Amino acid sequence: MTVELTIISVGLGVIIGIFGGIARVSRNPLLLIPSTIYVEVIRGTPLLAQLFLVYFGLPSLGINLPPFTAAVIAMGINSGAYVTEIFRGGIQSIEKGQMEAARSLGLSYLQAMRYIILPQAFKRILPPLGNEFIAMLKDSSLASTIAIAELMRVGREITSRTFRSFEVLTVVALLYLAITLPLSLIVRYAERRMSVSD
Amino acid sequence: MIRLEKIYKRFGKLEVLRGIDLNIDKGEVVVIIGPSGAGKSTLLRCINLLERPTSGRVIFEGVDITKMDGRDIDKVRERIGMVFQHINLFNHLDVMDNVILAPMKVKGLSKGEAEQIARALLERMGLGDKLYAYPSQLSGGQRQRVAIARALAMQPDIMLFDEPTSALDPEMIKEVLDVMKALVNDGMTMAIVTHEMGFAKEVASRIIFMDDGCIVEEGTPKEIFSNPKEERTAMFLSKILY
Repeated sequence: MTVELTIISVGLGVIIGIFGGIARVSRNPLLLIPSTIYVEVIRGTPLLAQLFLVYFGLPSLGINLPPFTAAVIAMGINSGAYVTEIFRGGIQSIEKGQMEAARSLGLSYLQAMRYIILPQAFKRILPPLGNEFIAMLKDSSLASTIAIAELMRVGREITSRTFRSFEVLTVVALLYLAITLPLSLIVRYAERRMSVSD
Repeated sequence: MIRLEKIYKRFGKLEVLRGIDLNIDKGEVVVIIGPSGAGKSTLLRCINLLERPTSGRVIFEGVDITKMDGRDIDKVRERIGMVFQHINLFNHLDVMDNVILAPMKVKGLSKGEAEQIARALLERMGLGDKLYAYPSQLSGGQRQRVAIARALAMQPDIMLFDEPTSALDPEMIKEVLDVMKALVNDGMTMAIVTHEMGFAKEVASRIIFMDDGCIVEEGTPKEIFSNPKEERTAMFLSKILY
């Protein structure tokens, strides 16, 4: 459950982040201002509060979401803000000449983004993206608070049955580590794979 | 083919171009010379609107392109090739993909058609054995020749060269200039900003001398180099020719 929740949330986050990142480097205020507000608001408020707002707050507006959906939405939107900033940094780190060369050949701005800027930016942001993935994986433990049977929640249920909190929580922590360590290795492998053109 | 009318360009308070009028006819090779900061590169970049003139008109084949919107400008840029001082090859793509990208994505050619054009061009540039190398594996001179091939693959009507040899090691300058000479011999219309005076003398149908945002003097290489009318031109040439 933990892994599933994280993958879907970060996946959503990356999709938001690509468009958010493009909006954050845009000169069009209709894109720039909303994306900036989005990033600042989400980064400036705790994930736990966002989670509660989606799960406990929305029902008062008549929107009832199952726990898993609520968690994915809250975590995806949260992750999206961080990934937006990661993409913004990545896009801005690509030399201006790349965009100019692409435009001089007749590519539109969006084509240049898609074929020239984003692929190069993506390569550069792989390390921070990996970080975000690992951070989100650990933060998914917060979803235990809204009745999702993810790792932390299961751990606590076992604790309340056995009263062996030290042992159980240590195992839970080790299980998180067991997921994040291979993840780090995968990211490192991907970095190496993508550096063939360097 | 291209006519610039009263081009002004301001960056903040700095006036980089101050009323440029320039005509480039089909088949002409116009070489723009002048001191650093004269506005030569900015002028070149105004031709394909990489820089938007603050005022004035850029007329391409009888149409004022400064009034066009995005998509139409992209259409015009397809027909104006550009080569940059900093080369700007797409670093994540190999040589072949650098050259075929725009013909495929912009012109809609099939991969096969685009590759055929690319292979022919790259072979002409002496790069037949580097088709699948990445830019980082090439020398500066080779990279710049790929960049020229990339621009030519769109089969442009005019080529703009913005100091194409200024960032190269000295021993690589000739290979790039040789490729450019071959283009001149093919009858390509070209506008070139360069500090290579020997080259300018040899290939230019017209030399433009710019200083301080204005065209100070223009004429044939013979007129400019042997018998400059303006004192500023003479002074500039006396400083760089030895």
